[in-house]
Amino acid sequence: MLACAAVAAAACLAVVLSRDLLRSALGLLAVMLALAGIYAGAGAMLIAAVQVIVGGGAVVVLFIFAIMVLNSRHEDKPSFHMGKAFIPSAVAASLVIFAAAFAAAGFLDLAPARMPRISAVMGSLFSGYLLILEATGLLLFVSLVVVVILARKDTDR
Amino acid sequence: MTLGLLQLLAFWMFACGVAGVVIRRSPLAVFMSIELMLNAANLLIVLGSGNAGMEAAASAGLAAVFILIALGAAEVAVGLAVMMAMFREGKGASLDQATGLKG
Repeated sequence: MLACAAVAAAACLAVVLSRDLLRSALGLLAVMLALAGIYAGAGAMLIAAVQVIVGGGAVVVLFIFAIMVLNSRHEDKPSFHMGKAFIPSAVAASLVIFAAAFAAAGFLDLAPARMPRISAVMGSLFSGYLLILEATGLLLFVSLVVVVILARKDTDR
Repeated sequence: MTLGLLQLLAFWMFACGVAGVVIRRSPLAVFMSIELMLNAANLLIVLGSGNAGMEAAASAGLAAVFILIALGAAEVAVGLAVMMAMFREGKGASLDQATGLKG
Protein backbone atom coordinates (compact mmCIF):
# COMPACT_ATOMS: atom_id res chain seq x y z
CA MET A 1 0.00 0.00 0.00
CA LEU A 2 2.87 2.36 0.80
CA ALA A 3 4.48 1.53 -2.56
CA CYS A 4 1.19 2.48 -4.25
CA ALA A 5 1.17 5.74 -2.27
CA ALA A 6 4.72 6.54 -3.38
CA VAL A 7 3.83 5.82 -7.02
CA ALA A 8 0.75 8.04 -6.77
CA ALA A 9 2.72 10.90 -5.20
CA ALA A 10 5.38 10.75 -7.92
CA ALA A 11 2.86 10.40 -10.73
CA CYS A 12 1.01 13.50 -9.47
CA LEU A 13 4.17 15.50 -10.11
CA ALA A 14 4.44 13.98 -13.59
CA VAL A 15 0.84 15.02 -14.36
CA VAL A 16 1.43 18.61 -13.30
CA LEU A 17 4.99 19.22 -14.50
CA SER A 18 5.25 17.34 -17.82
CA ARG A 19 5.03 19.55 -20.89
CA ASP A 20 4.02 16.56 -23.00
CA LEU A 21 0.27 16.09 -22.57
CA LEU A 22 0.45 12.40 -23.41
CA ARG A 23 2.88 11.91 -20.54
CA SER A 24 0.52 13.84 -18.28
CA ALA A 25 -2.28 11.47 -19.28
CA LEU A 26 -0.13 8.42 -18.59
CA GLY A 27 0.80 9.92 -15.22
CA LEU A 28 -2.91 10.28 -14.52
CA LEU A 29 -3.33 6.60 -15.43
CA ALA A 30 -0.57 5.71 -12.93
CA VAL A 31 -2.30 7.81 -10.26
CA MET A 32 -5.64 6.07 -10.90
CA LEU A 33 -4.14 2.56 -10.78
CA ALA A 34 -2.08 3.34 -7.66
CA LEU A 35 -5.22 4.69 -5.98
CA ALA A 36 -7.04 1.48 -6.92
CA GLY A 37 -4.21 -0.43 -5.25
CA ILE A 38 -4.58 1.69 -2.11
CA TYR A 39 -8.35 1.11 -2.06
CA ALA A 40 -7.83 -2.64 -2.47
CA GLY A 41 -5.23 -2.62 0.30
CA ALA A 42 -7.63 -0.77 2.58
CA GLY A 43 -10.29 -3.42 1.92
CA ALA A 44 -12.64 -1.40 -0.31
CA MET A 45 -12.66 -3.91 -3.16
CA LEU A 46 -15.75 -2.50 -4.87
CA ILE A 47 -14.29 0.99 -5.07
CA ALA A 48 -10.96 -0.42 -6.29
CA ALA A 49 -12.71 -2.24 -9.15
CA VAL A 50 -14.77 0.82 -10.08
CA GLN A 51 -11.64 2.98 -9.96
CA VAL A 52 -9.82 0.69 -12.40
CA ILE A 53 -12.79 0.43 -14.77
CA VAL A 54 -13.96 4.05 -14.75
CA GLY A 55 -10.86 5.98 -13.69
CA GLY A 56 -8.15 3.97 -15.39
CA GLY A 57 -10.35 2.85 -18.26
CA ALA A 58 -12.92 5.41 -19.30
CA VAL A 59 -11.46 8.71 -18.10
CA VAL A 60 -7.84 8.25 -19.17
CA VAL A 61 -8.82 6.70 -22.49
CA LEU A 62 -11.07 9.72 -23.09
CA PHE A 63 -8.16 12.06 -22.33
CA ILE A 64 -5.79 10.21 -24.68
CA PHE A 65 -8.51 10.15 -27.35
CA ALA A 66 -8.94 13.92 -27.00
CA ILE A 67 -5.18 14.51 -27.21
CA MET A 68 -4.99 12.40 -30.37
CA VAL A 69 -8.07 13.94 -32.03
CA LEU A 70 -7.12 17.52 -31.23
CA ASN A 71 -3.48 16.84 -32.16
CA SER A 72 -2.29 19.04 -29.29
CA ARG A 73 0.36 16.96 -27.64
CA HIS A 74 2.68 19.80 -26.70
CA GLU A 75 1.93 23.09 -25.05
CA ASP A 76 3.14 25.89 -27.27
CA LYS A 77 4.68 28.14 -24.61
CA PRO A 78 6.55 27.62 -21.37
CA SER A 79 3.83 26.99 -18.88
CA PHE A 80 5.44 28.23 -15.68
CA HIS A 81 5.88 31.91 -14.84
CA MET A 82 7.34 32.44 -11.42
CA GLY A 83 5.77 35.82 -10.83
CA LYS A 84 2.23 34.82 -11.75
CA ALA A 85 2.32 31.45 -10.06
CA PHE A 86 4.01 32.48 -6.83
CA ILE A 87 0.97 33.11 -4.62
CA PRO A 88 -1.01 30.00 -5.69
CA SER A 89 2.12 27.86 -5.37
CA ALA A 90 2.69 29.27 -1.90
CA VAL A 91 -0.91 28.42 -0.99
CA ALA A 92 -0.53 24.87 -2.30
CA ALA A 93 2.79 24.40 -0.51
CA SER A 94 1.35 25.67 2.75
CA LEU A 95 -1.51 23.18 2.34
CA VAL A 96 1.04 20.35 2.09
CA ILE A 97 3.06 21.64 5.05
CA PHE A 98 -0.11 22.00 7.11
CA ALA A 99 -1.14 18.44 6.27
CA ALA A 100 2.35 17.16 7.09
CA ALA A 101 2.27 18.84 10.48
CA PHE A 102 -1.21 17.43 11.05
CA ALA A 103 -0.12 13.91 10.16
CA ALA A 104 3.10 14.17 12.16
CA ALA A 105 1.13 15.17 15.24
CA GLY A 106 -0.77 11.90 14.92
CA PHE A 107 -3.95 13.94 14.80
CA LEU A 108 -5.34 12.08 11.81
CA ASP A 109 -4.02 8.69 12.85
CA LEU A 110 -7.06 6.67 13.85
CA ALA A 111 -7.79 2.99 14.36
CA PRO A 112 -6.97 0.55 11.53
CA ALA A 113 -9.52 0.62 8.75
CA ARG A 114 -12.49 -1.73 8.74
CA MET A 115 -14.37 -1.56 5.47
CA PRO A 116 -17.99 -2.68 5.11
CA ARG A 117 -18.94 -5.62 2.94
CA ILE A 118 -19.98 -4.99 -0.67
CA SER A 119 -23.52 -6.12 0.13
CA ALA A 120 -23.75 -3.43 2.82
CA VAL A 121 -22.53 -0.76 0.38
CA MET A 122 -25.03 -1.86 -2.24
CA GLY A 123 -27.73 -2.03 0.42
CA SER A 124 -27.27 1.62 1.31
CA LEU A 125 -26.92 2.56 -2.37
CA PHE A 126 -30.23 0.94 -3.28
CA SER A 127 -32.20 1.95 -0.18
CA GLY A 128 -31.29 5.28 1.41
CA TYR A 129 -29.45 6.65 -1.61
CA LEU A 130 -31.77 5.29 -4.29
CA LEU A 131 -32.97 8.72 -5.38
CA ILE A 132 -29.39 9.99 -5.68
CA LEU A 133 -28.42 6.88 -7.64
CA GLU A 134 -31.29 7.44 -10.09
CA ALA A 135 -30.41 11.13 -10.35
CA THR A 136 -26.83 10.12 -11.21
CA GLY A 137 -28.14 7.87 -13.97
CA LEU A 138 -30.25 10.73 -15.30
CA LEU A 139 -27.22 13.03 -15.14
CA LEU A 140 -25.12 10.55 -17.14
CA PHE A 141 -27.86 10.35 -19.77
CA VAL A 142 -28.22 14.14 -19.99
CA SER A 143 -24.45 14.58 -20.26
CA LEU A 144 -24.45 12.05 -23.12
CA VAL A 145 -27.01 14.17 -24.98
CA VAL A 146 -25.09 17.38 -24.23
CA VAL A 147 -21.84 15.86 -25.51
CA VAL A 148 -23.50 14.82 -28.78
CA ILE A 149 -24.91 18.33 -29.25
CA LEU A 150 -21.60 20.03 -28.39
CA ALA A 151 -19.47 17.78 -30.58
CA ARG A 152 -21.53 18.31 -33.74
CA LYS A 153 -20.14 20.53 -36.45
CA ASP A 154 -21.73 23.94 -36.91
CA THR A 155 -23.08 22.99 -40.31
CA ASP A 156 -25.27 20.29 -38.78
CA ARG A 157 -27.12 22.66 -36.50
CA MET B 1 1.02 5.57 10.63
CA THR B 2 -0.15 4.28 7.28
CA LEU B 3 -3.41 6.15 7.59
CA GLY B 4 -1.65 9.41 8.33
CA LEU B 5 0.62 8.92 5.31
CA LEU B 6 -2.35 8.20 3.06
CA GLN B 7 -4.09 11.33 4.27
CA LEU B 8 -0.89 13.22 3.55
CA LEU B 9 -0.98 11.72 0.04
CA ALA B 10 -4.53 13.05 -0.42
CA PHE B 11 -3.43 16.55 0.61
CA TRP B 12 -0.42 16.30 -1.69
CA MET B 13 -2.60 15.22 -4.64
CA PHE B 14 -4.99 18.09 -4.02
CA ALA B 15 -2.14 20.58 -3.80
CA CYS B 16 -0.66 19.22 -7.06
CA GLY B 17 -4.08 19.64 -8.68
CA VAL B 18 -4.38 23.25 -7.49
CA ALA B 19 -0.88 24.03 -8.77
CA GLY B 20 -1.66 22.38 -12.11
CA VAL B 21 -4.86 24.38 -12.58
CA VAL B 22 -2.95 27.58 -11.95
CA ILE B 23 0.27 27.06 -13.91
CA ARG B 24 -0.80 24.98 -16.94
CA ARG B 25 -2.07 26.64 -20.11
CA SER B 26 -3.51 23.77 -22.08
CA PRO B 27 -7.16 23.15 -21.13
CA LEU B 28 -6.53 19.41 -21.30
CA ALA B 29 -3.80 19.67 -18.66
CA VAL B 30 -6.06 21.81 -16.48
CA PHE B 31 -8.73 19.13 -16.75
CA MET B 32 -6.28 16.44 -15.68
CA SER B 33 -5.37 18.54 -12.64
CA ILE B 34 -9.06 18.88 -11.74
CA GLU B 35 -9.30 15.10 -11.99
CA LEU B 36 -6.39 14.85 -9.53
CA MET B 37 -8.26 17.02 -7.02
CA LEU B 38 -11.41 14.90 -7.40
CA ASN B 39 -9.42 11.73 -6.75
CA ALA B 40 -7.80 13.27 -3.68
CA ALA B 41 -11.26 13.96 -2.24
CA ASN B 42 -12.34 10.39 -3.06
CA LEU B 43 -9.29 9.00 -1.28
CA LEU B 44 -10.09 11.01 1.86
CA ILE B 45 -13.71 9.81 1.84
CA VAL B 46 -12.63 6.16 1.50
CA LEU B 47 -10.11 6.53 4.34
CA GLY B 48 -12.77 8.19 6.49
CA SER B 49 -15.30 5.45 5.81
CA GLY B 50 -12.78 2.83 6.96
CA ASN B 51 -12.67 4.57 10.32
CA ALA B 52 -16.33 5.46 10.63
CA GLY B 53 -16.98 2.77 13.24
CA MET B 54 -20.60 2.06 12.37
CA GLU B 55 -21.08 -0.09 9.29
CA ALA B 56 -24.04 2.00 8.11
CA ALA B 57 -21.96 5.17 8.03
CA ALA B 58 -19.02 3.39 6.37
CA SER B 59 -21.15 1.88 3.61
CA ALA B 60 -22.80 5.28 3.05
CA GLY B 61 -19.34 6.76 2.55
CA LEU B 62 -18.36 4.11 0.02
CA ALA B 63 -21.69 4.58 -1.79
CA ALA B 64 -20.90 8.31 -1.99
CA VAL B 65 -17.51 7.52 -3.55
CA PHE B 66 -19.23 5.20 -6.04
CA ILE B 67 -21.51 8.06 -7.14
CA LEU B 68 -18.64 10.59 -7.16
CA ILE B 69 -16.62 8.43 -9.58
CA ALA B 70 -19.62 8.34 -11.93
CA LEU B 71 -19.98 12.12 -11.64
CA GLY B 72 -16.28 12.54 -12.44
CA ALA B 73 -16.68 10.49 -15.61
CA ALA B 74 -19.66 12.61 -16.70
CA GLU B 75 -17.70 15.79 -15.98
CA VAL B 76 -14.77 14.64 -18.11
CA ALA B 77 -17.06 13.73 -21.02
CA VAL B 78 -18.80 17.12 -21.05
CA GLY B 79 -15.55 19.01 -20.50
CA LEU B 80 -13.79 17.31 -23.38
CA ALA B 81 -16.75 18.05 -25.67
CA VAL B 82 -16.53 21.73 -24.70
CA MET B 83 -12.80 21.58 -25.42
CA MET B 84 -13.44 20.12 -28.87
CA ALA B 85 -15.78 23.01 -29.61
CA MET B 86 -13.10 25.45 -28.41
CA PHE B 87 -10.44 23.85 -30.61
CA ARG B 88 -12.77 24.01 -33.60
CA GLU B 89 -12.98 27.79 -33.16
CA GLY B 90 -9.19 27.94 -32.90
CA LYS B 91 -9.17 29.04 -29.29
CA GLY B 92 -8.29 25.83 -27.58
CA ALA B 93 -4.51 25.71 -27.65
CA SER B 94 -4.15 28.00 -24.65
CA LEU B 95 -6.58 29.06 -21.99
CA ASP B 96 -5.32 32.64 -22.32
CA GLN B 97 -7.19 32.88 -25.64
CA ALA B 98 -10.49 31.68 -24.24
CA THR B 99 -11.74 34.95 -22.86
CA GLY B 100 -15.35 35.17 -23.96
CA LEU B 101 -18.53 33.29 -23.11
CA LYS B 102 -20.52 34.38 -26.17
CA GLY B 103 -22.69 31.75 -27.81
